[in-house]
This record gives sequence, structure tokens and C-alpha cells, in this order.
Amino acid sequence: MDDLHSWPERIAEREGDYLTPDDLQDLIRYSLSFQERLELYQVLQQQELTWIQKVLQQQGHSGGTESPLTPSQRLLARQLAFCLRSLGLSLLIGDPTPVQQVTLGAMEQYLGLPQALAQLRAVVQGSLPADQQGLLAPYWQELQAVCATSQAQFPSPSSSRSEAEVDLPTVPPERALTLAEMFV
Amino acid sequence: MNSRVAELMQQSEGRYLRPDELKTLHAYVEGIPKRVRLYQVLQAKEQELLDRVMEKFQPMMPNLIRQHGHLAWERCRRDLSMVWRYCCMAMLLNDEDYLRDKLLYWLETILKSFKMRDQCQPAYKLMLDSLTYIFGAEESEMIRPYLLLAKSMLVN
Repeated sequence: MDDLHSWPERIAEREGDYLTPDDLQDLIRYSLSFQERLELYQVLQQQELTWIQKVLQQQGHSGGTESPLTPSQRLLARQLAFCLRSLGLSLLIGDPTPVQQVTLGAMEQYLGLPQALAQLRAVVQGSLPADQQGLLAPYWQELQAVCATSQAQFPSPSSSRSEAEVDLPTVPPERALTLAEMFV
Repeated sequence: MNSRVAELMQQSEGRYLRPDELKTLHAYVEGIPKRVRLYQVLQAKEQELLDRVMEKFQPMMPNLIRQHGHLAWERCRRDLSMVWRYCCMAMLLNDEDYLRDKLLYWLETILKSFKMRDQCQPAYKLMLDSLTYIFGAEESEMIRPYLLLAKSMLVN
């Protein structure tokens, strides 16, 4: 499914009429791929903690899964988990809506998220076989598109920095915006 | 995606689906190819069905044009086609709520306000009776619950 469409939108567009042959073919393709989607969804569920831990390490967290996290690391871990779960849900139902909605919300919670999500994508895709990478790729692209749109609307102070310049845990990854900055 | 699955998605926001929820989703998705196949048959034979219904309905309503104008039969066929298409979509989605929410509550109000329920009643009975003449057993049985729901809300 290279071109992702929301099923509720497609159905709404054809209200009072029949779905197009292309829509019906997509439905069948989705149904036939469901077992693969389900297996990958379960991999995401099983590996979530490991993958997020790797991202936190790349962000400078030196401890293991049991070591305490700073508040900003906890926030980042939570937002990464939300995004990964929404990615999984979108994959499972064949609809980009969850990943669009959750990523947008997560971006508002943590402005340094795009860099961390790029790291998470590299970690996840690097851990999967090629066929599962391919199945997940359109949803990562959707997630990145949401990040790009959100960044264009609300550019973070550090958005021009490279991933190698991500802050260490002793310093918050992003300084908190003031109300005045948020409502410019 | 039907309303039951949509509800499942909303309830699961921020967490992974539980095994029972995955089972519900799996059962729904597994049925899609069969529903698509039936949907295509129902679509292909819509005109044949409506021709048969209109052919039998018109002699039953000799005064319809005098009562409702020269477009009355055209509008009647258009409305039956609309109901049929919403029923087909509801069957495809396995979702009676879709039919109720998107069409029946609205059309019920229209038919009541124009006092058309009694006049339209035979058309829905004819549609139901015609199913087995036009379609095979499987198609008829899959679409019948939606047509019965439409009939019960619109003209009973």
C-alpha cells in the first residue's frame, strides 16, 4: 500500500454510491496481508522497550532499562511509545489516521521528537527483515510527513541542529517554551 | 472500517490491542474478501432488481403522478436506489449502524413529514421478495438483514 488513504474518508467520499474497483482491490489486498500485519504488530509490541532504550542511549542515557530517567527522558520515552503504538495500529488497520493523530499530539508534547523518531525509525527498521521493513515503511513516511508539517507550523529552537548535537540527559533536550512563544 | 472496529481503535489509543480485541479485528478482516465479492454482485444487479420492483410497483400506485407530480416515479426509483446502495455499503462494512446513522434516521424523518410511509411500504416488500429472483442464496441472505432494517425504520 504505497498510497495511504483513510478508510473513513474513502467511504465518506463514496457515500450514496459504490466504492470504486480500486478501493475494493485495496480492501482485498489489505485483508490478505492481515496475518503479516498482525505478526509485525506483535513484534513491535515485544520489542518496544528494547528499541526505545536504544534511542535513549543514543540521546545520552547511559543506564539500562532499570536505571532512573530524568523527567525529560521519561517524557521522550512516553511520546516515542505513543508514536510506535500508533504506527502499529495504523499498520494493523491499514489506515494512516492513528499515526497522524497521535504523532501530531506527541509533537506538541515534546519538540525534540522528530530527531528521536528518526533514530527510532533507524533502530526499528534495522531490526526487521526486509519484508517487514517494507510493510512498515509507508507508515514511517506518514509519520515523518506529520513531523515535517508540524515543524513547519511550530519550528523548535533547535530544529536546525543535526542529530549528533542532541543534548545530554543532564540538560533538557528542549527548553520549555513560554506561553508567549507558543502563541506567536 | 466499521463502527465496532472504530470504537475498538478509540478505546485502545495509547496501548496495544489485547488478544480478545485482536481476535475481533481478525474476524472482521477475514470476512472482507467474501463481502467484497458479494458487494460486486449486488452492485452489478442493482438495475435488474429495481426494474423488477418498479414493474410490479407501478400498477399498484396508479395515482402517484397525480398526487406527487410527473417526476414521482423517477424520484421513487432514485430513493430505492439510494437505500439499496447504503444497504450494500453497510453489508460490505458489516455495520448496521452505518445504515442507520448515514441514511435511515434522516430518510425516516422525510418520509414521515411527507406522510409517504404507507405509500412506500409495498416497494420495500417487493424489494425483499425480489431478492431470491435476482440473486443467489448467499447474496440474498447477506443483504436481507439490512433491507429488513431499512423497511422496519422507513415504512413499518
